[in-house]
Amino acid sequence: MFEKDPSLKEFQDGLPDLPPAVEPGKQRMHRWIAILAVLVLFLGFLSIVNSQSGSQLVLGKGAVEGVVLTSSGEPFQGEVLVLGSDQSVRTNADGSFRLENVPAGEQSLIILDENGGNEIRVYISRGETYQLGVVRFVETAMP
Amino acid sequence: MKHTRFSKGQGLVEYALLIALIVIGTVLVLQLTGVRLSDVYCRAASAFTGDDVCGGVEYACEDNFNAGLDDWIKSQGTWSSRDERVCVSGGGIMFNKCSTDLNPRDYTIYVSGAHLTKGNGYGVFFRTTLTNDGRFNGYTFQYDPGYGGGAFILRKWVNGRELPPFAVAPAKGYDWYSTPRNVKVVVQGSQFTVYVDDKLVLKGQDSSYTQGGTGLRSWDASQVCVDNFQISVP
Repeated sequence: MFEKDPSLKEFQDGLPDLPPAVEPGKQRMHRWIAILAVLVLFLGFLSIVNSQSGSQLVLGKGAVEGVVLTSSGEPFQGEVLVLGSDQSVRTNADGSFRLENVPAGEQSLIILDENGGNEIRVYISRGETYQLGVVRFVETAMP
Repeated sequence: MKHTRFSKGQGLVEYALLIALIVIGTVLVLQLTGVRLSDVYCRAASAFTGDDVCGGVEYACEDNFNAGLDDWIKSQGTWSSRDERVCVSGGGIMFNKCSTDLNPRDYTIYVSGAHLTKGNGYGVFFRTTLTNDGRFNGYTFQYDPGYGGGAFILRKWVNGRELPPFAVAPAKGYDWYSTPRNVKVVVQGSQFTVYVDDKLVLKGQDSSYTQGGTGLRSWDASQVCVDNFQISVP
């Protein structure tokens, strides 16, 4: 039962040398595993940020506000929305609008009238309101 | 040979961990670059076997218009099927049911024998999705003699309304009316490439819509007929 237990003979010259903690080959392997693990974590993070729901989770939300005028300078009456989201609002009587809960990051702001639309690229920062200022709506030419 | 826990070499767990990390990393890279694993498998399998494992050019949707327009959702205008062609006079929009149901990402559209005889042009919808309230989002390629003296253009549509073109190839002096044309629209990732009679006429890029069906449109006082409509999905 105890035949595999060390005998006193093994210790007659004192305690044996301790084996090396980790051999060089293993150290290399561990280094590679660590590098790959960091890389995978980074790619995973990028993948999450790349997805729409993930980007909202990571980057948060902001707001955008501005005033839209027609090409002749009248207050524009129509719809303003953020492409790919459910955020949409109608302009007020003076052409102003404010959109809340806009996913942070680069977004396409779409301004629509009955016939066509304009697209404006905006960059929304987390917790901040992007000031679009006053923009002119370019009407789609109709026959 | 006696193995102890201090033996040289790697444990099975370390190798498994290494392989797992490589696999996960590869999948994430493919995901980020927009490459589908099934496409990679298709290409690799085809290269090994020498056969076309992916199926090659098989038309996922096809209509030669000899059996009416049951496979189309008519949204606007008066479309009619006659003499194995579909024709429209004036403005019109209709969507291909088959591709709308299929809702593919990447594909190639072949519009054969498209003959504009009058008016400002016709268009081919792609990556189009219909909303519950009858609106739609997507893109069109437009064969457009009415735009700036004549041009090939790509437009985006939001809630059924068209936006200014995001790609324009002016073509003043082009022979728009006398000959039927074969239009090919290649939809690949965020890149769109258009050929007319096998000649590259326009390239565009947009990443707003990632998948959706196809359709046809005309506007103003256009008169146009189309012989055949096909979609191949890789």
